[in-house]
Amino acid sequence: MRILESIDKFANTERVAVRCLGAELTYKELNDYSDKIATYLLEEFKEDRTPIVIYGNKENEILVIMIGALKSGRAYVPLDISFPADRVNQVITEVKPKVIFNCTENPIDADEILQFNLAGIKEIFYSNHPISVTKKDWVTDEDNCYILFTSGSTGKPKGVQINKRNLDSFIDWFEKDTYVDDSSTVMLNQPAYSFDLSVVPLYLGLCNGKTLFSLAKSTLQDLGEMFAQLIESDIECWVSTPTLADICNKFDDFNGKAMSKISKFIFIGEVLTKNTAKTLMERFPSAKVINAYGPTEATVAISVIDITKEMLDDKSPLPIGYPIPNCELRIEDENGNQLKDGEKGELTVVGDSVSTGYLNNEEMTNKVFFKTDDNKQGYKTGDLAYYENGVLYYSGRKDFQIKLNGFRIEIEDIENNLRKVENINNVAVLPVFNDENKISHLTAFVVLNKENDLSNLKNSMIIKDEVKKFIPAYMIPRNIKILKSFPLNTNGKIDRKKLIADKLC
Amino acid sequence: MEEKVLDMLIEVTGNDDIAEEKDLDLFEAGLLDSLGIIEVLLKIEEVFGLRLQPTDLEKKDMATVNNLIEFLQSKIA
Repeated sequence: MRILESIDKFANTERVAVRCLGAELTYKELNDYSDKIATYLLEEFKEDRTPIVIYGNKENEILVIMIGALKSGRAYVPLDISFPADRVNQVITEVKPKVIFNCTENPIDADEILQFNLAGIKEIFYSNHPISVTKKDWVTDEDNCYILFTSGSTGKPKGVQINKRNLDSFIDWFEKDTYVDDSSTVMLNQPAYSFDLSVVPLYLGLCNGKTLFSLAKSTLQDLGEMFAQLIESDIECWVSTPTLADICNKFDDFNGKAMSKISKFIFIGEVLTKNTAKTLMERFPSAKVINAYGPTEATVAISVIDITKEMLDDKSPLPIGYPIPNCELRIEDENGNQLKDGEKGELTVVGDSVSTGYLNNEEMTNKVFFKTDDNKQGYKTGDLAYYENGVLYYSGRKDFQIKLNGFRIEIEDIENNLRKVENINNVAVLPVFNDENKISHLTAFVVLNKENDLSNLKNSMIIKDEVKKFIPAYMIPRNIKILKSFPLNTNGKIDRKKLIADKLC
Repeated sequence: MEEKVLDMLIEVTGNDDIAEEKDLDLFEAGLLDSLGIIEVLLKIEEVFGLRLQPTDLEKKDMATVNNLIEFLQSKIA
């Protein structure tokens, strides 16, 4: 496997693989320690290749465990610290791992499963146990490499399985189209490992001997500290959601003079606005701004393009790119007929990048994945898009999935979890848009089971406190409004349009 | 000034109850986070023409309606 070969190759150099909060791990350490983890997994669990679960944030050790899993022929399931206990347990119930590596201080309630904390993990790294893993044990073509759990409309996350074939398809194409070579430079490693945008620094970075510069969650919460670290980081390749660039644009020092090494920005995960792109092109005149698009189900990205000054002046929104050559990206109407240039429809992707489906979830898998007559794997993205001269443009969603600050969220996932809150009778969650037509936050309208004398604010604080047991903080609506009853439409359903029209949000 | 600050925070938090609770900690109430800070900074620039670096103010300076009023009065006066 390319990433494992590459780590082995760069282990003969002095290069640093990852840097986080001042701690470093060299390629040699990454190689040696991951051999230890792989050996442990192979000797302990032998032929049982159940995926392993990793719970943490940006600890350098996580990288070692991921690589160790791949070397032992196992997939890893990364869960970010932003996942609360309830969600972690849902994933564990689904995956049924034999071992959990917990890099956080939060205990995981799963007594029957073997668990390692950071101290235990380091014991494996530093043990003198002889290495028994060989290349024959590594993951091969159809083996899963990772499983990412993404928001599901039922309120339960779905596990997207990505195998080696999917990754090969993505990496070989994407590194060429984003001009990533094997020079010794630094790549930004910001997104949480539970989001597939992190696959860009992880795989493209480690396949090319880059040094990953990780931003921990604690760093991201302190903007001054975050920016100070970025200025010192020597980053050459910036990978993030546009939201992070928007935050940095508030700092005057975010420019090509103060950060002279930056040669490109790669954006995936949400709509890149002209405003963001324009500001960056002005501030970093010699850097490329690259926009990419793709669902987790088709391995990170399936289209990519360099943004030019002409595109900023064009009346269309910024394009999401030229399609990946080894997949077919079609725009279809509701009956599956292929549409012409300029006609808007659902984007469907067929080819090697497409996942085999959701883990242990046949129902959801059959809804959106399909096989073509020549046995190729396909996925209906639910994204609306159109072609113009061979270039794709994004124009919204078919359903209630949203992107909020780069996080992919099913509105129903939030609603179903809010309904678990004791005093909530029913709920409707609506996005609130800003001037640029980007979602600025979410508002939840709530009808209580038992009315009380508490203020709206007090009630909303109680609800937020309770729902944070079930969903990550980024999914909790910023504003909660208590209503006596919901306006209903003629079908007897909650009238969302009326909620918006009444400017209740 | 008071009114402008309040309007600004109501727009960012989407919550008008804060008009009655000007000493409520907006971060603790889950109405502001680090992205919210950026939104408030953009609003300050738009409304008062005052361009601030995120490092120009402490988190507590915008933690409550009253704190932000006080902070901006000291900056603009």
